[in-house]
Parts: sequence; structure tokens; C-alpha cells
Amino acid sequence: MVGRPLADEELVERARRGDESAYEELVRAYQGIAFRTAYLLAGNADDAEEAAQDGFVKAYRALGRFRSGAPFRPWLLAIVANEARNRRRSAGRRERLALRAAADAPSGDAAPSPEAAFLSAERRERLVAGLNRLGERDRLVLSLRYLLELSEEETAAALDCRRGTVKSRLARALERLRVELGEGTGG
Amino acid sequence: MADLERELRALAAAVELPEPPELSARVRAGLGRHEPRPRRRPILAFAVALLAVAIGAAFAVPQSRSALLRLFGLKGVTVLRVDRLPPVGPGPVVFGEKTTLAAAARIVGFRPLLPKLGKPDAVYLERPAYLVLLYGKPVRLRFSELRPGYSPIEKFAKVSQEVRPVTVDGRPGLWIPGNHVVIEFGNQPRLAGSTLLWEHGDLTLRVEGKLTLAQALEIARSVP
Repeated sequence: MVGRPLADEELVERARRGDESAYEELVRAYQGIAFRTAYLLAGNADDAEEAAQDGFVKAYRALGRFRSGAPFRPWLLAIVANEARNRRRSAGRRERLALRAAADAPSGDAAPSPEAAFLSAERRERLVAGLNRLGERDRLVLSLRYLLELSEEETAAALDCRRGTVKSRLARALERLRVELGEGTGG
Repeated sequence: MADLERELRALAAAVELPEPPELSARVRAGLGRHEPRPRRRPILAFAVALLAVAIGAAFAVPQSRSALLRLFGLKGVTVLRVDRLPPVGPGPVVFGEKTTLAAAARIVGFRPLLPKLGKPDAVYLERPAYLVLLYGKPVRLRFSELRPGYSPIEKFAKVSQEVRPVTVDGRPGLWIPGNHVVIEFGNQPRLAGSTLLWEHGDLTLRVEGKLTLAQALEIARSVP
């Protein structure tokens, strides 16, 4: 992420002046996080793909309203997340996305990342099962903030709420997850 | 508190999420159709479908699913008017099996009709009843004939221009000027040039290439 804000700022300025290649670079940089954010919100990959694609096009058209010097990523994620929510709503979808723990890489593959190695396979399963038992709202805020590693600002943008709200939702969701895991304080 | 947060962060590497698609080319194509501050309505586009089955094909393409606006009809042909094009792959422009006119005639069960264009450079057959004759190397003209009524044949095209109803020797036809996208038999979408479609007896014929309407009509009228 180091250096990214500066580069973004320049790319955004160039895109604003109609430089489509500059915008394409921004798309390449952020399509991964945009798609995954949309995926968690929309609940399926097809809608997520459409939401991300349309979100990028709409963001381009809205560049005139983008505040110079502001970070691009949360602004983009807000637009993509809105697209994803609209799709879910208009399709009247109720199905829940079930998170799954990835299978352990077979031995011989690249060594697991230090972060992944920090959790035993059993603990991973328990955490994922716990997350899946949470209400949609709790699960979403935890997934965006920790699984996608969005900042508080970005999580707020994706959820269309204020940063303070993200903080309090996170605290409540963590507490409920602890209860699900049988580790709750009961308070 | 901190421990569970740390565990959730570690879980990020271990949760299965679908691979993000490569969007940059499609987004860029979208930018071309939508200026940053559009003053005009988005350009409408069209899709052609042979047989109603193609409506299903259209809906199978996510990019066009949300944007079905209007239908035109021709025997064995449906034109879908949609506002977003399906993405075009870099794949080959031919499909089916390469064959000869004589072999194809035995399989399709009709005598292939030939426009006065000389001997085709290649003949392709998609069973059971769709024949494609290619002229020129590289291909500059595609002449296809199909017997409507076979559900396996599905095709749709989209253009950003008009679809003009025309008549060919008193029979109904459609002229689609300019580039559009065609999906044939669930094959890769491909970019097609100007196309004339028309009914000819039991068959629906199609000629595609860098053509004017007058040239296309001339080819059409040369079919016996």
C-alpha cells in the first residue's frame, strides 16, 4: 500500500481528464477488492461480477464529483457495494452466502503463510462455522473488516454507514462470535 | 479481544473466495459507450436470435441479462434488443466440423443453396442443420443457411445500430448494418460484420461481411 495513495491520485486526475488507460490501471489495481466486497454483499459471484463491473463504469462517470486528494479506494468501494446491494435487493434474494475454510494445501506446495499457519485447521473450521451462524449484519461487518482487511473507513463506505457505527457494530459482532464459539463473557 | 481479531485476520488467508474476474477490458469497453458526463441516452444495441431458444442463451450471458428491451421476429430468427453487449472472446471465428458441400448435404438433409460467389473456400457444418460457407482467405464473407425448427441452433447478435426490416424478392429479411456480436450454438461470442438475414423457402439464410445493403441484397438475389 505504500506509495499507492500518490499513484492513485495521479491516475485519478488523469482519468478525470479522459485518460481511459489511467482508469484501466485503477481498475486493475482494485478489481480484486471490489469483486470480493461485492461478493460478500451480493451473496453470489455472478452478481458480484456485474456489480464490480458496473461500479467501475459508474465511478468513472462520477469522477467529476470525486473530491481531489481524497482516497480513491473507499469511494470506489461505496459505489460497488451500492451496486451489489441493489442487485441483491432487486433479485429478492434471500439465500445466505456460506463461508468456507479452504482445504489445507497439500504438502509439497508452497508453505502456508505465517498468518494461516497461526491457526490450526480445526480452529479455522470452528471460526468459519461460528461466522456462518452469526446474523448477516454481524457476519458482514466482520468479514469486510477482517477477512477482506478493509480499513474502518472502507468498511463504513461499503456498509454505507459512519465510522463510529462500524466500530460499535464490530465490537458487538465480535462479542456475539465469542458466544458462538463458547468463549463469550456472557455480558 | 485482540486475540479473536488476530485470529480473524489470520483466517483471511484460509477462507475460500471466488477468484476475481479480469474486468479491465470490459470496464474500458463500458467507458467508450458512456462518456464521463453523458449527454445522450446510452446507445441501444440489438441482438439477433435464431429460434426462441436464443432468448435463453441471452439470459445465460450475464452482461445482457439485465437489459433485454425488445424483440423482433423473423422465421427462425429473433432479434433481441439489449443495451449491453456480451463480451467478445479472442477465440476462433469458425465452429462445427469442417466438411465438404457433398458431405454436408447428406447430413443436413437439404440441398445447400449457393450464392453466385464461386466455390467456397471452406465449408463448416454444425449438426443437425446449420451450414456455413466461408469465402476468401482470410475470410471476407460468411454465407450461412439453416433450417429453422431445430432447437439446438441458437445464435444472437447485438449491434449498436438499427435493425432494418427489408424484403428480398418479396420475402422478409433483416439488415443489421455494422458490427455486432453473435453467439452460435453456445460457442464463444464473436464479433460479426454487417449481416443480412432473410427467409428463403424452408431455410433462413444469412450473409455477413464488409458489405453495403445493396451488395448483400445482390448476393441474396443470386441464390437460386
